Amino acid sequence: MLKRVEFKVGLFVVLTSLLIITSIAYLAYSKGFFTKEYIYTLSSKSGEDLTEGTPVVFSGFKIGKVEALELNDEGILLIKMRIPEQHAKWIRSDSKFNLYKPLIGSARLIVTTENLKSPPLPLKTVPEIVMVNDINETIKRVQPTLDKVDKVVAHVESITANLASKESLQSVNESLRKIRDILVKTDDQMYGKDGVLPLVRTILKDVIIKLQKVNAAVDNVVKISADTAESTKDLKALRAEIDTTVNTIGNMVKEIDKKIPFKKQPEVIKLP
Amino acid sequence: MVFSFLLVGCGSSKPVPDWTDASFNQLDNYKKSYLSGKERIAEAYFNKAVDEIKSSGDLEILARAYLTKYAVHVAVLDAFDDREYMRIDAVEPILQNKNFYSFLKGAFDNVDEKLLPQQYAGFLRAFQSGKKDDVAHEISKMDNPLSKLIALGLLVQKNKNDETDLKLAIDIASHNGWKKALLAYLFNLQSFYKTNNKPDKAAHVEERIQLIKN
Repeated sequence: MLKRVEFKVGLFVVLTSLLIITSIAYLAYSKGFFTKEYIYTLSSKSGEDLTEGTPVVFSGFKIGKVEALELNDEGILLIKMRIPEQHAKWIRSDSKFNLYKPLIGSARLIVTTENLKSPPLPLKTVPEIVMVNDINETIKRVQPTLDKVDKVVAHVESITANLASKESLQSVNESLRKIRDILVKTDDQMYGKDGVLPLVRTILKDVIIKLQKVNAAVDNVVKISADTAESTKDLKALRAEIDTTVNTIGNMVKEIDKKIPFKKQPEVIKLP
Repeated sequence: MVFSFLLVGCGSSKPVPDWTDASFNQLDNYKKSYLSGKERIAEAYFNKAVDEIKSSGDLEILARAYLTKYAVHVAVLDAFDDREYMRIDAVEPILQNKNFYSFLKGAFDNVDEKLLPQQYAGFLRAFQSGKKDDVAHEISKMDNPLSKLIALGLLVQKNKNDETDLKLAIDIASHNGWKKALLAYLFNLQSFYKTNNKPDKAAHVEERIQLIKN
């Protein structure tokens, strides 16, 4: 009876193992463990942005990856990329390899093949990859704009140049020169030796001297009139006094006249 | 006490209006100032006199005032402007005034000696007779020095004077302090000497003039 059990166990183990191995094998197969891979070599002058593991892309589809980077004896970078057999058909002898560096994201090695009927790339050939920066692209795209801007600027410059073209510039210069001349002349006329201003100054000086004299005269007149006013006031007062006195005396005389019998005859104007 | 009553009684005569006395005095002042050479003051006095007379409106007296002015001019050998008198005369002609006016003008033919102030009657008669001594005599009879000067002035005006007359005029003017008259007759004497070829005397007179002039 025991043999029977052992047999069953043994059978079970074998089966299970077989199962496991099959699974693993199947897994390996499906994962491309058993596929043949080709290693292509590319060259580049610069190893910038290239690393191991950089994907190799064809039409946006990853077909392989960079396996290793080496420097050969001439200082040129050799890029080894591993491509599985099923994708090796994409790599032809006239394929173009570009290292594309997007502004954002990691670099990838882009394969571009235009003619699929061309002979496949032999493993020994080392084509050169072309660096493509996204910045480059941007620049390329900006370039026309820049060109346009350049053109505009050029236009502007030409316009400006036209505006300030020889003729107009000249005429402006002429006007400026004329204005300057006029100013100089006016200056001369005004300030020059025989100009208006010196004349005016002379006249003014003369007038000032005369005015000073007049001032002095007026001062005198004022003084005189002040004195006269003063004395006139006095005179007036005196006259009033005198008048009063004379009148009083006159009245007294009249009174006396009335009293005295031998009064003189009234004085009447007679022919001389 | 009686005496005082007498005084009071006798003293009461008609009151004399002021303008009479005032105008008289002013005219008197005018005569004195003008003869002394103070012509501006004289003019002021004359205007006052005229104002006083005008307040009464007595044209005869006003005419007399103007004639007095003209007479004084004659006395100092000056010409006179007779327009004012002519205006008055046109309005109210008075014979005596008109007569005296003609006298002053030298128009002796128009003059009636009876209408003249009595001191001039003898003078006029003597002048018209042509007797020089009588003329001198008549002048010496005059009491009023101004009247004498007026007569002498008329003689000079008519060119009937001689050296004696001039010297007499100079004496009268000098005595009364009538500078204007004095200088006028001195000048006249000087030119008299020059005309009559007496340069020394003329020079002498000239010196006298220079001393007195200012």
